[in-house]
Amino acid sequence: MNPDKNMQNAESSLESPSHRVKYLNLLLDQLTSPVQKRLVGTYQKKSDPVKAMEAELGDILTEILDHED
Amino acid sequence: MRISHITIRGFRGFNDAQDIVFDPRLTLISAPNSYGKTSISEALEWVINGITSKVEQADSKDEYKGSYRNIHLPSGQNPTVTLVMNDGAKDFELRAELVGDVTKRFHGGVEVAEWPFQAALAKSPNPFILQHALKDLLLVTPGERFDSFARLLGFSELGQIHKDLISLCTKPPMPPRVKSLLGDVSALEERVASRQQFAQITKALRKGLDGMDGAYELIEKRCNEFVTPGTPRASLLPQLLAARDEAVKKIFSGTIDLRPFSPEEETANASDEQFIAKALTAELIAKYTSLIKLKAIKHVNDLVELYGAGERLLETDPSICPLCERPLEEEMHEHIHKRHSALVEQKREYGELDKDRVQVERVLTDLETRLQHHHGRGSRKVGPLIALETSLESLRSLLVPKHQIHYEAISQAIVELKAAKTTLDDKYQAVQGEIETIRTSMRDSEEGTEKINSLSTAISAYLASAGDFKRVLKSHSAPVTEAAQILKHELDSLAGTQDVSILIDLLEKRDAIRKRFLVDGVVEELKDLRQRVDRFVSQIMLDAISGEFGAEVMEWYGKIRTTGDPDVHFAGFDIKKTAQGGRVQIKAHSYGKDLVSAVSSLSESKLNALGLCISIAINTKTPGIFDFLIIDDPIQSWDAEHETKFIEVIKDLVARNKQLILLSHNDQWIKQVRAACAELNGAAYEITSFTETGPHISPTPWAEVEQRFSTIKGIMENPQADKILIQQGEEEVRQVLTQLAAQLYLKATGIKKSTNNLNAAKTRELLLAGSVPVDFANKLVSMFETVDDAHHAGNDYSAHRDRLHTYYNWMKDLQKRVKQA
Repeated sequence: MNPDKNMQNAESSLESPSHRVKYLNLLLDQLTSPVQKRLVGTYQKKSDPVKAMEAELGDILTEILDHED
Repeated sequence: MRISHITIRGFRGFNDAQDIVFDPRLTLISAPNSYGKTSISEALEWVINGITSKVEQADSKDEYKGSYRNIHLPSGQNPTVTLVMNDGAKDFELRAELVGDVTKRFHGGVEVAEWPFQAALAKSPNPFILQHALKDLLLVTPGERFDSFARLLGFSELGQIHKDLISLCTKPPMPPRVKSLLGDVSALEERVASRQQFAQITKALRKGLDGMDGAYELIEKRCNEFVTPGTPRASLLPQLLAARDEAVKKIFSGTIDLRPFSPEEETANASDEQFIAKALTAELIAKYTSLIKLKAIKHVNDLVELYGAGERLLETDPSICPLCERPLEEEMHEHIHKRHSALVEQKREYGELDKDRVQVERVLTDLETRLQHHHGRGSRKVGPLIALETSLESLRSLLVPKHQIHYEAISQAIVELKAAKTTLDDKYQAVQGEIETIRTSMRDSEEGTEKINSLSTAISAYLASAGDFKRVLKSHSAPVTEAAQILKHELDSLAGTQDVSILIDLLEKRDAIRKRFLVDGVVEELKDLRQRVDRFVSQIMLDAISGEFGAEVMEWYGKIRTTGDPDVHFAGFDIKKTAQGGRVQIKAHSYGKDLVSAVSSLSESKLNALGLCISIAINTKTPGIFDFLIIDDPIQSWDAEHETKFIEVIKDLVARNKQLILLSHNDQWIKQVRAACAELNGAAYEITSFTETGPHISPTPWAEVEQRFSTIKGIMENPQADKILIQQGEEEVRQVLTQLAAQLYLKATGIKKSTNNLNAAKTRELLLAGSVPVDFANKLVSMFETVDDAHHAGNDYSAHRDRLHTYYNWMKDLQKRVKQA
């Protein structure tokens, strides 16, 4: 069984720590929207990904409010 | 990694310590329901995983709190489970001990934070195949099933990513400012939509950002209907405001406004409060109280000037005193000089006090300024509303009875805010008074500790009342703002300025409306992201379950598949993409026709069989660290045909080098398994009763002695028997020997011994305890040299028909002794 067969360089059917990064990289490759990329990118990089992503969304929305145009 | 042995003490149903020796290939444990069978699989789970799956999957962990500890275990003793594992090369011990709520782990007797194989554990398939887990896999909502499959297939991280991103996209957390903006704009849009004459504007605004320019062209066109013809665009809003004010003030002229402190004002308040609270430092107080010394400085200054003048005059005529004109001795000159120097030094010291005085005065000035700003900020917030006290009757007539609650909100706010402000004003005046007292004391050289203490007390009282003031303001802000909106609409309605008012708001909130559309855009991006994540995860899952894994499950299912019942069977997996996300579809067909879903179409026994096959397939196809499988009650709800079929699965798994530990409530089926797997000579146990001390586990012979004699005789009399068959006959002899030795020992001592781990030495002990002569006992156990498992036999071992005859006769002699004992 190889659940990662659509992933490049899949090592085994079991997830290793790097799989998380690989999944997110694959997902990022499929995204074009800057907002979506920012959110998923933040989720990928932070140790508390959910909170970080929520904070990033807060920043995105606050930027809209604070920018004049 | 296989399990050799377990000792359970004080865990779940076990109170007294009990041992179970596991066969390296197949161990069968039978017990009626509630006799502690599941406690064994839970003990194994707890040691290896640190938690039982029942607790892990429980919605409420609190309900299971303390459930690991046996209720009858004496206080002061800890639930303990010890496993002896074998990694293929050596045995090693794992011990888990529950101390309070903490599980302590010991590897080879040494406490460890985690097992040496902990990292690999997370990547290995779960070797525990338990009934409740199977139900969680199949008989759950489609969404939950997706998560369960993700976990089972080793996609827990992918599942977590999916869950986290979907959660964000479904319920995006909005900062308070954004929420407030969305609320304001939505309320305005509702008002616009409620006016038929604004239908076109509403339509344009519904196009979002793209419709804004068009909407504002329409809005400005409407505005022009209410202003002087030819009014330039920039003057539209002022003219509309003026028109509305003029119309409305004929009815009510006050303004209701009670906004909470803005973030900037909050920051300024916090800064002022910090300064005010910390202004009177211990150092400053010490400097202030020491200023009392300055009282003496005037006298010193006079003397310095006097002696200075004297010295200067003496430079002209040192023989005469310039004051009394009497003659002066040299000695007196010396005295005048020394005295002058001492006074100059004293004056210098007092000069430091002057600097302190300046510093104290500066702090007092800063304190005053900060207080003024802080107090003013609060006063300005509530002043306009409190001023409306005199207009309350007018307000009542406008709002009551239709909007009584809002009238009361305003009147109540005025009462409470006025009281809070009065207190704040008093405390503010008190601090100012104390500052003035300090200043006066410094001017009059009457500094004193009690004066600075009074200032400190007044400051504390002011800050406390400021806190109360802010709380009152905050509590009334929202209700008053809401009441203000209601009043505004009421006034517009009475003055006929509803449309003008809406147009004013549309002009004033153009930027807010645009930002709301931008926020909407982000929300749309999140919806799109959710769909993309669903598709992404579903595709990975689909590739996993519809490929080799699906084939493997189908293969195992084929082994259990029965033919006597209706041809309604599992037909593979699929991922169905829905608005709610990916769903694992379990396909089924009936006599070649596709059914909607296996879950709704298959009988419970077939679903149970399918669940088992999924778990088995994961364990056989996925590399992991465990060579064992623990299957708890696999045949629940099965018919006899499925039960028989599953025995083939057991044999197949053992043939694939899996160590199986099977637990079942059905002792007849366990006997059937023993008979069908006679050649495996595994370990069998029966839980015969359950009392306060725990389950009573009794070892059961894999086959009866007579059955084994019959097998051996059949082999001896079979001229076609090859070496493999004769070797099996010798293995049967060894089993007979250990069983007879255990029977003899039981008769001699009344103690039942398991035959599962009897080697030559232990068997000899049993024989001697059963009064078998030493020579005969030695002869009997010498059989172990040839009949013990081939891997224990010498290099020259070879199965031998004559030797089998000899052993058979020895066993018959021993059987006679057992019968006579």
